[in-house]
Amino acid sequence: MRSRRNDLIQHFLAYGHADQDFFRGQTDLYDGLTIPGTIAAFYQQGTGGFVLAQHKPYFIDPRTPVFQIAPGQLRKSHWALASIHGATVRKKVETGSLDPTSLTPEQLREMTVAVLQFQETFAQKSTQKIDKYLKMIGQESAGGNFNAPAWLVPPYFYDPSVRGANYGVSLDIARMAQAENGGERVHPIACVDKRALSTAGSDVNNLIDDYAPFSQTILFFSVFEEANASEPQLQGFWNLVRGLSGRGRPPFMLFGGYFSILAHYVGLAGFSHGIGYGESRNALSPVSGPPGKRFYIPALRRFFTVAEAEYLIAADRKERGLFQCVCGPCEAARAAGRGALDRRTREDIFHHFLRVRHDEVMSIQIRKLTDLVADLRDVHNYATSIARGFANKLTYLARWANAIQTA
Amino acid sequence: MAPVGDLWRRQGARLAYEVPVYERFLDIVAVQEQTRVVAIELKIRDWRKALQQAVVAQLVADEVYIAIWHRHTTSVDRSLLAKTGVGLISVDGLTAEILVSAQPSQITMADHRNAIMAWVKPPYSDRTQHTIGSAPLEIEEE
Repeated sequence: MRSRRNDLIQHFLAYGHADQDFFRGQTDLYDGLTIPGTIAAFYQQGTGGFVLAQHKPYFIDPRTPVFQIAPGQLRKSHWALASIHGATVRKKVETGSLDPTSLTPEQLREMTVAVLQFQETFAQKSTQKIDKYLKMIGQESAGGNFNAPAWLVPPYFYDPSVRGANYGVSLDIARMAQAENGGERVHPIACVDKRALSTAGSDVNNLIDDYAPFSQTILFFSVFEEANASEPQLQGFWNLVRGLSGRGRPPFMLFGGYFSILAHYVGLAGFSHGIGYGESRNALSPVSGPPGKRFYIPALRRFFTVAEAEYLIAADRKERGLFQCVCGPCEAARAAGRGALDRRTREDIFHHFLRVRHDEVMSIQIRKLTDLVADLRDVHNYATSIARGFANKLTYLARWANAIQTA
Repeated sequence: MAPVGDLWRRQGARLAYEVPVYERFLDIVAVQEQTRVVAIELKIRDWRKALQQAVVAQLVADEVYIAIWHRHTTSVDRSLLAKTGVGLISVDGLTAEILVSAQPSQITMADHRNAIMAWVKPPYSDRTQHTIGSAPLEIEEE
């Protein structure tokens, strides 16, 4: 196993329009913001005002794959997103799902230029409400001097396979964007099915070869949930990160959790996720929204339903006491009479998770990968010994450890 | 479902079906003399899933059983039942039989258990709480 400890992994949060209050108070616990294109397009002034006032790096995910589904499932925000993809895409989406291979080179260029132009001018055109947000955080007007997105992200399409036609279209778009906008700022999204990760290395090698020319690739594996991923998929992800990093192109994971944090040891530069949810996504799903109430158990490195978490904490209470969280937000909730998880507010649970996630990110500064993998095995053995009827929900810990040691 | 409930109904227990607890429902809850709460998870065949739900139900009940179609009870890991304290009921159409008695739960949360007791009130009583745990769900009791 090769271990490497570089600078900290970049920790981005997916911006949700309903979570502004929460984001405002937590700026020291994350590094940047991922803005869904739907929100950037539909709530441009509100989103721009808020995001720009945070003075954090950000980028806009074009979310182009939502147009690959039937337009009947699209909402108003998707139509706003279609408009920033240019007139041709908007028109095609109005008549049916968008087939990427139906777009001519000229139409691909029109779409790419439109999307990147939206991103390039986002800071200048989204300032109508900036003074309001600056005032809310006690700052003076910045006089129109606001940061552009940290990266430009070209439109992209989902393909189940690394050998499919849509994959090829996405790669063509990325190359076009890179050629016309200078290499360093263009960070394409490689969006394929999670099964591509487990195809005995060939698809992973293709991904590495295809995306090594870009300064950084944003990885998006549809429905890749770290806790449900198979060992070959986890190994494929690990090898992909190591391969791109080995070419001097450390990638960024669009939806990641603790396993992605560990992948920093083989070069993952950064990762993003929602608050309390959103550690994976179906590329073709237009739906997102508030999660069910779930609790992140730090020692187990994943979310559980409140009932499951209560059970695990209760089973552990008379043993090692590993699962009872002692982070500041949890202590504050207990002091306020909200000790039981079903009494916790949404904000309690979000604060707890973000605090814990921040500590996880910091932990890779001071600990060796071999020690963290040993922790996974130890916690797996312990948890399955005290929660015997629950063992099949905890096997991911062993899979993570095995994948890291055998990749 | 009826023969399983009858095991406790015959002892004078009050029964409720599909009781909302946290994010899901307990299939059957029996309350005996306002002192003991028994929860039963029903499954035809998938005893592992039933057991997974049953151990969580130990948070809100004094005893928890899984009830499985009689042809599949032989596949249930009895040692796992002993380690978790979950009991086993065999169901055969019109009859049900306790094969393994449940052990008292070691992790029952008193306030949730009391909420279950309050939920399983005599007929026509008003309920003051619609969910035990967090999920704001509406259900109908049989």
